This record gives sequence, C-alpha cells and structure tokens, in this order.
Amino acid sequence: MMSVTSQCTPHRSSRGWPLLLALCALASSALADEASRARGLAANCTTCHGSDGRSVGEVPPSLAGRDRAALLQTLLDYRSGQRASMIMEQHARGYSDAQLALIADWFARLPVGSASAAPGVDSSASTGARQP
Amino acid sequence: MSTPIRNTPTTRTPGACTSRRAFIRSGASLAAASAFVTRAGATEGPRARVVVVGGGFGGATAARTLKRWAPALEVTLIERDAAFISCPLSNLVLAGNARIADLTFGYQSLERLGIRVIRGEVMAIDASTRTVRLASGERLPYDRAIVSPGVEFDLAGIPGLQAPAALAAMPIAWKAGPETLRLRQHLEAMPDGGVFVMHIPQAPYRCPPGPYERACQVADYFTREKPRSKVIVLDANPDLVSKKALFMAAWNGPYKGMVEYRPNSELADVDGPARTVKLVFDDVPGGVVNVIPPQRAGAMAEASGLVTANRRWCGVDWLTMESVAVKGVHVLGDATLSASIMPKSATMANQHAKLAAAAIIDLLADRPVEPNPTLINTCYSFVDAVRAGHVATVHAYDATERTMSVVKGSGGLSREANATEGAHAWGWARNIWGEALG
Ligand code: HEC
Repeated sequence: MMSVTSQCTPHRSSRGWPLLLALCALASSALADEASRARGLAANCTTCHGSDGRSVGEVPPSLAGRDRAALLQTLLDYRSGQRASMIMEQHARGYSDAQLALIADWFARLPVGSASAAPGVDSSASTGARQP
Repeated sequence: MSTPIRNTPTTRTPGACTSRRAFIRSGASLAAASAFVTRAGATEGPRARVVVVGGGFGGATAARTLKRWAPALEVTLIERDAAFISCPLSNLVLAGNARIADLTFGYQSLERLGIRVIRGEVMAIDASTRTVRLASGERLPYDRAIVSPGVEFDLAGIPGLQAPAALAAMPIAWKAGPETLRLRQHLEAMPDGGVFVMHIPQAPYRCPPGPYERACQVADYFTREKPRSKVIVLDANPDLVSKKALFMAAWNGPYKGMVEYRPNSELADVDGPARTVKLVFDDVPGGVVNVIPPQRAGAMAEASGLVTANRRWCGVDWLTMESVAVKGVHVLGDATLSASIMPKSATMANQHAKLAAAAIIDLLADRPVEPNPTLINTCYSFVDAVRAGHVATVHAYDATERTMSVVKGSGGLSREANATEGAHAWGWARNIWGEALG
C-alpha cells in the first residue's frame, strides 16, 4: 500500500504538494485509498473549476480552501434543487451523499493559490485572460 | 517568434535512472521494478517511464496530471504540432466572434513541470518490446504508454475531397488551425445572397453538437454582414444528434428563413470546381462548401493494433482506459469506442486522461485501481457571439456491464441559450486548457 504515513515531506514542486498534504493528513492506508478516491471524484469537477480547485478567471469560482460544511451544503442544495443554477444541479444529481462529502472534504483541504492558465505561444503569459 | 517546443533529442544522457533501467532490462517484471523504486521514492509516487502520444485534450492533460500526481514519473509527451489549437470555440472564428490566437497555446509550461516534450510523429507502438516508434526511426521505451491520437478523416467514400486542390477549395476545418482560417476567408469572400452548404457524417464523429453550432455561427455572421445569404445543413443522420431543442430554437428564432436543415442526407460525393455537394438523390450547389467527413481513430492506433470496433475505434477497459487489445497501452479521447451516450468531446478526453493517470499511478505502484470511477461530460455550444447552451451528463462505472453508464437523474440540457452560459463556456474553456497545458 501507499506509504504516506512515514514520509510526509512536501515535494519541492508547489504543484505536487496539495495531494501529498492531503494524503499525509489522512495517515493510514485505508484513508489513503479514500483520499485517492476523493481526488478521482474531484477531478470530475476540475475540468470547469480548475486544477486543484483554482479557477482561471474565477468563472466558475475556485473551490480550493473553501469551508467544508458550506461547500457540502451548496452541493446538497444544488442536488435538491433548492439552489438554482445553470448547470450545477445537473452535475450534483450524479453523486451520492458520501461522494459529495468526499469531494467537499477534498477541495476544503486544498490550499488557495493562483490558477495555472495555458500559456500563449508567444510568451508565458495567458491569452485566456483577454477574453470576456 | 520561435516555436516554444525544442526538438529534444531522444537519446538521454545517463543519469539517476540508468541503474533502474538496467534493472528493468535485466528481466525483472514491471511490477517488481516499480515496487523496488516505490520504496526508494515513496512520497513522489512510482518511478517509471510513461510515454504519451498526442498532445491534445486527452494526451496533454494525462501527461500534466501524471507529473503533478506522481512527480517521480518520467513523463514524455510526443506531439506533431508546435502549438495546441483548441477545436472547442473554433467555430466562433468562422463568424469573427473569436480569434484563432485566443485558442492557440504552447507546451512550455509542461516542459517547466519536468515533462519531456518531443515534437515528432509516432508511427506505431510496439507492445512486444514496449517501445514507441517515431517516424524519425527513434524508439522510446515505456513502462506504460498512453495514446490519444484524436480522429483522422475517412475520405474513401468522398473521391472529390481526395484531390490535392480539394481541401483548399473546401476546407474541412474539423481540426482547428489553418483550415479554420481558410473557411473563414471563403465565407468573407462569398457575396451576399450566397449559400453555405455543409454536410454532417453519420454519428459517431468528433463533437456531436459542433456541426449545428457551426451552422449557427455562420448564420450569425450572415445576419450581420450578408443578410440575404443562406445556410443549408445536410445531415446524414435522421435527426439532430445533440442539443436539438437548443439549435431548433435558434433556427426557428433569430435565424428563421436563413438556416435550412435536411436530415437523412446521404453523401455520394463532392464536386469541388462546381462547389456542389452530391447526395445520393440530389445535388446541392453552394457558394461555400464544407463537408465534414466520417472519422476513425488516428492512424497510429490502427498501426499499433489498438482498433477493435468497426475498424474505426479503440475498445478500452473503463476502469483504467487500458486497451482491450494491447496490454500496457491506454487509449484516451475521441479514438476510444465510446460508451453509451458518451460523446467524443474535449471534456470527455479530459476526464479520460485523469482516470487513466490515477489508474496508471496505481498500477505502477502495484496497488488496486479505483473500482467505481465516475466521469462527467459537458459540451457548450454558442448560438451567436455571446449566447451558449450546454448538454451535461454524469457517468458511473457499471461493474456488471463493465462499461460507463449515465447516472439516472443526472445531466440535462440548458433550458435556453443565454449570455450567462456564454460566460460559463469561456470559463470552462480556460480551465480545461489550463488542465492540459497550464
Ligand atoms: C461543466 C462545468 C462544471 C463542472 C463539471 C462542475 N461545475 Fe461547479 N459550477 C459550474 C458553474 C457554471 C457554476 C455556477 C453555477 C451555475 O450556474 O451552475 C458552478 C458553481 C459551483 C459551486 C458554487 C460556487 C459558488 O461560490 O457559488 C460549487 C460549490 C460547485 N460548482 C462545485 C462543483 C463540484 C464539487 C463539481 C464536481 C462534482 C462541479 N462543481 C463540477 C460549472 C461546473
């Protein structure tokens, strides 16, 4: 199994460490399985909300570092239809209570930070930011 | 400006990994090798070589995700083109509603992450020697390979599109890039009162709502600049295959009298000089002609023995994205034999990539893979410069059928296209581009 219990030094790459921290926080192999399941579920969301829950341009909003309980309540409200949305209710209805709890927990643990936009070809600056 | 991608030599300088490679070559099994290195670098994940073929939404996202989730992996990405040009939103370029530069990105962030990016053409994967063979003759060894070759066009049934001059006269523009700009030029050169005729192949093809979005974008351009012109949509399918209500609302609303939709239009051929689409029962002349040909998995998939369905698509194990035909090779994106109601979309390729990355890390570390993976799909389409609508689904693994099925009650269509969703579509795009290349 994954040996996250003994060696919890964050990796030098700032991009690698949120997962390690989260895995380290869950210091047993059963919980490591849980963490990797959470990461897999959360990866469903990052297509729109940005890698590690950091959204390029903040539309839709970043999810990293949000309050866990509030995040979960928002998702449950989307699922029940209590909270109106263009698309989130349709996604939220695809998950069980347990899955939504894992996802909320995952994003709540991730550190806030700047998002990684795809760079234009002429410079390392983002071209995405110019658009509406 | 020079291209961001160096033509990196494929022979590597001997370094830290030499002894591991010698260890692997000595006949030890892959599992033993990765267990050996996992102990050595526990917090960085398994040490092994993953070679990714194709730097689109599937391949680039897989390479980046692997490196971020398991930094000790040696990840190599092989891509034919110097830059990435997004197919999503490229229909907007046809109408002047976006610039191709807004959709063009470089691979330099991936290199900065420690991914080796090689510009080159892959001929095939040789699973017996676990090597990827490049057109240059070079061979790259791998422990796991990922293939995300996208689609290639099947012109066998369209002789008129095979002539060298045909693509200049009738750009396909179903892969964003120079053909997109050429089609835009043809539309700009067309006099008011002209006809844009497009043909849509039988599903499945890349981006199911894309052709209907294209019809809307051209109609948006005509409405503004050439209001006496027409759009004729010839569809080989019996009905719109995606977002019907959304597109019909546009065609019966703002574009009423401008867009004409003809289902069951079986293509016979195309006549470039006469700018005419030849159907089995009819000839349809136009000022600008755009035939989207039938498609299949990119050529290297066939050459690698990965094509398992209808001589077109690659069957995969949905727990890992591993090919059902070739062990150790994972296939992503449009090239896969889609599960039911799973479109060939950028979102889907992005989702495949992350599922495969997680599974590959587990497999290399000799851990069980996630038994209940879920995937989502969302496709946004613009009906004009600012208004968009979506179709969405959530898919979960069905252990009995060993496929992905739509979760009951999940997903749906936008009630209407609107500007809020137009902003969401750009937000989706920036984030999915970031997941691939950020
Ligand atoms: C297809 C893109 C897409 C996907 C996938 C997606 N979201 Fe969203 N999300 C949005 C949009 C757009 C909004 C704004 C609300 C709306 O109109 O739907 C939003 C809003 C939210 C909000 C409210 C944020 C706020 O501050 O108001 C939360 C929480 C959220 N999403 C969580 C998730 C989670 C968790 C997942 C994965 C299970 C997910 N989203 C998947 C597009 C997406």
